[in-house]
Amino acid sequence: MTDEELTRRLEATLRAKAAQVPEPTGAFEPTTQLTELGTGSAKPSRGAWRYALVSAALIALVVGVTTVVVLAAGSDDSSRPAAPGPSTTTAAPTTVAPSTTTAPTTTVPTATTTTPPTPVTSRPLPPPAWTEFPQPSLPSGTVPVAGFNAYLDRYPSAAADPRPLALTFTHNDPPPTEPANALRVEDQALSSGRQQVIVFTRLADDSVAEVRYDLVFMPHSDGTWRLASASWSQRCQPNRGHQDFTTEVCI
Amino acid sequence: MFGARFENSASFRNAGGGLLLRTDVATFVEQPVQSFEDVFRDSRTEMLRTAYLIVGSHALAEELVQEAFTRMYRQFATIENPGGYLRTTVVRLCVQSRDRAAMETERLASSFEPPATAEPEIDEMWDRLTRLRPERRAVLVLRFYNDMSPSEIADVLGWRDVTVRTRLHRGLADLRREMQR
Repeated sequence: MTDEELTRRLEATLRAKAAQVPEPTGAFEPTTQLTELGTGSAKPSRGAWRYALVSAALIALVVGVTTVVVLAAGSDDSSRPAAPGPSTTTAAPTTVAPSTTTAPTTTVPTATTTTPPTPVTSRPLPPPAWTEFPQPSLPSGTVPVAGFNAYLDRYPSAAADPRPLALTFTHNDPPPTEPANALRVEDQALSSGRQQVIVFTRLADDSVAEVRYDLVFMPHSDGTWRLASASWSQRCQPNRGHQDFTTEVCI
Repeated sequence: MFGARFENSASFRNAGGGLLLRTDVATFVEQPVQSFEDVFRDSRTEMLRTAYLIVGSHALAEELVQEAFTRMYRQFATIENPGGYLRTTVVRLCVQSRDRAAMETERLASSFEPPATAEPEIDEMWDRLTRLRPERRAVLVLRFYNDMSPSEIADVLGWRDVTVRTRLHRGLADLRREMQR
């Protein structure tokens, strides 16, 4: 079966099966649907109860461990003046109790009155995040950069260094830490600018091994940087296509 | 085959792909304001058909489409593009519907399901299609039924462009393998 025949049959099948779905009738009833779907006042699912129980157990465990640690620390301090003997830990709470009852009356008010109010500092707001993703054109692999440069024109404070700019352009600011070595950045000096080569490795994809962006930055008149060109390429997994960086599809 | 089809599509010829096209439309074309009832009436059938093609069950498709409408209803005032929101929600619910399908099998067993067609070619292809994983089926449906470009599919599914192309390629390869069995 040729590719064209396969897609033709697929399109015909999808159209024929879609045509079998009758036009639905009736109006929208949000309240009914919310209850049915369990998003309204319906009882929580078994999974939700399990999460609640596990959370409660964890909280109880943390509180218990903290209490034991605090009591142990208190017993260490108070056991020094106490008489030596095998029952120092059990005697600790009774010896600590009188001193702790008097302590709050003197320390708590001073703590609340001496705490200075936090001064409000007026730092400049950071520029908003770059939200567009690189959209390579095929088959050249060229990535449009005009939008990114317009963003840098609006927020030149973000255009001080090519390396973080490259990470921002590819949405890796801050760089990922998992899996380890998932991102490789190579900084190369050009005659009139800098080239940042970003390679995404260890992709969770059994077809594409590595994706690479070649970004060339040139200095701007105000001393900041602009993205002169960007290109995209990829390298396939072994036995899944080309092993060099090209724009060809992996299988 | 895939490359040729992609290059011939109108959305690809708009350099920069669907993203720029949508940005232009969103910026310069005034969209008529639609009420929730309008969106519900105009989109329900198409969403139901798309969902059915992805999950392969009419009853489950109805549930998922209703859930998508319910989610949209609760925040309709804040949604700028109801059509896009709805399509994205429906398709993502469909892709995540495997567990739900298992849970609701019993309840949905008595519901209406479209019968086989009279054409063996179509029934055979449908049978093979329903054996694919939902995410691959979703890519094929959006590409070959909804006629969306890979960039548009990437936006809907929240994947990278490269991932969509790869899964599209693999979906067709899986389908061909199933057909040759």
